[in-house]
Amino acid sequence: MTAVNIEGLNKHFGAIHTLKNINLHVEEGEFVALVGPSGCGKSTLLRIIAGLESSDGGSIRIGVRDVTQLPSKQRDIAMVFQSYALYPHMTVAENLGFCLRMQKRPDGEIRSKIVEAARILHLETLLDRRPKELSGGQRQRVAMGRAIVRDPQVFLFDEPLSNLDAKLRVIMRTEIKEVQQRLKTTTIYVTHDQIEAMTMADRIVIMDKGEIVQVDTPMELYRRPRNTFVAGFIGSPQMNFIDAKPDGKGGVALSQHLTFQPDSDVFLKAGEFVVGIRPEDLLLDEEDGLRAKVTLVEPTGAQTYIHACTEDGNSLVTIENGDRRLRIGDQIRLKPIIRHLHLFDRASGERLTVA
Amino acid sequence: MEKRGTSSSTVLNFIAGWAAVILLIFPIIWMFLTSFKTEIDALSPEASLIFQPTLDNYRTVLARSNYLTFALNSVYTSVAATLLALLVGFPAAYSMAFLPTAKTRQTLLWILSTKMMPPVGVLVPIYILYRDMGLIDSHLGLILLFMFANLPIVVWMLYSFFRDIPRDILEAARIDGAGLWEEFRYVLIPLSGPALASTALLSIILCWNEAFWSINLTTTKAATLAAFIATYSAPQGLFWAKLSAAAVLAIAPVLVMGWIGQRHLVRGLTFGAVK
Repeated sequence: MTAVNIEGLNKHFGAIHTLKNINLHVEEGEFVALVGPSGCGKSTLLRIIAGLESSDGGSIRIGVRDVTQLPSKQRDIAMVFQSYALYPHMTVAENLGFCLRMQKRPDGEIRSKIVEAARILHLETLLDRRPKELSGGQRQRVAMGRAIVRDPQVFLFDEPLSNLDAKLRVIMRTEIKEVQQRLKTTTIYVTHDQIEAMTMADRIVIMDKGEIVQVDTPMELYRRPRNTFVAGFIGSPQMNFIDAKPDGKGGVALSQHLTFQPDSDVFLKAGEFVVGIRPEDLLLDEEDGLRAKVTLVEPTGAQTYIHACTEDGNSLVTIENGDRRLRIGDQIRLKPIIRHLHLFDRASGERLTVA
Repeated sequence: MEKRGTSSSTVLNFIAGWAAVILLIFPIIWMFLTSFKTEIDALSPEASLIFQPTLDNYRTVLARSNYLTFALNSVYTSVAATLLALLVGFPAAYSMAFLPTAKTRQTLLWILSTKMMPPVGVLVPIYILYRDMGLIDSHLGLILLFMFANLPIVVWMLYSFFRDIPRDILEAARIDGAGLWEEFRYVLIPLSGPALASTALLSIILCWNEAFWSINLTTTKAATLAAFIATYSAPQGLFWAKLSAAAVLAIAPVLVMGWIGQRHLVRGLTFGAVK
């Protein structure tokens, strides 16, 4: 088990500043997910950690070793690629044993490690097959196995589940998490899927435009997003945003009829705010709340997502757990849970107060 | 379900296809037949398919010149030039396919453009260079020329093939602890088996058929089969039947090789064409 420490990392591709002064500390045995929209630099960061890409300044330490200038093979890392990158001309056993062969380990040891990895990943019956004879999920497991056999100091995953269908993705998500918890290997996992990150990671690193926006545990990110970008990125359905103004009496006016008193007055320094409301914090009410008209009803089974448009023209989404049959065009009232509201500065998007 | 009958266009395609094949193969068949005729039959204005076949031409050709020496020269030069071209072309194609720079595209086009230059344009400088370096009528001289002549094709074919190999696989090997040499030996070369085979085959065939340089730069010691055929076009006149026999002997090995490897050849020439 080893910690990974990244300091002041920068990367340019021509004129584009892809990574801007990245600082990140990953604890021993921790599972950290790098999340962000495409083009945010998360894969580039992972490739630099892997040694597949060079950086323009900054340092990477794995344990006590400074690996910034070392080639991939000397970094003692294993990586699982989005495409799995299995060697098509080798059998599953040869794929699993390749890294040990490169390390010139004795045959007996290679064999026993292959058998051990195959047992963990249920690949025992597939050892003589070639990658093209395997299903997507099996290939994914071989790619995992290849990472496991070498017992590396760090696991790197580059969107490993995005080529799988939805059902298999959920199964493999659990398997990867279980293997990681069992081996307790420090893991850095890149994904664009926030659900994947939320369910698997100990901590999540949110990236945008080459910068780290926030690093926190999944629930902290959800409860206390640092700005509107994080607030909108984490959570599905997305957080609702409503422009609001001070009501002149120390409160915030969400609409003409709805004002609230936040429990801190930090925000009042700013002139205009954005109020963030998670869909589950917006309740259907008979008498009180924002007047709105249902525009879309999305049943998902246990819950129903209700999209509505307020009198002020704001589009909102709420989650309905009950069995109320709403139809498009119905008039409803939506009452936010005041203590769960998030307040952001409208100009900068930064979080203003503890809601 | 639509039934696929023999439509008139299928018939037309069939006829057109066969016509093209016959047109292309006719000279070879003609040459083959002529090689079994007497010189008089061969010159007769009434070209005839009915004649008394004779092996005299083959006997004369084999007796008059040392076929085996020419044939071995062809083998040496084409195989050695091909190996050399692969040795140089493989790393070149690797770096252009996997580590491209902004100028890679232009470099590739420039490499190909050298094939468009007529060889006769550089005959004099090359001749003088070879004379001064003592490379006239030497195996080494021909091997070097063949190698340089085929290098653009070798680089292009391997490059097109490498472009189809996902980069991730090589990166995975690097992370698995492979250095450049291991990456070549355990991953890239096994994966490029078909590409290497078809590239080598094409290069050997092109070297084997090369006539301009072997006729102009060799006399006896390093002369290949192309030069061997040319000796039958003497100042005293053309000996059609003997020339044909010599030509059959010269092209037979490469024809057999092409026949056996035709599947690889077609695949090699269409690398990267269809994804």
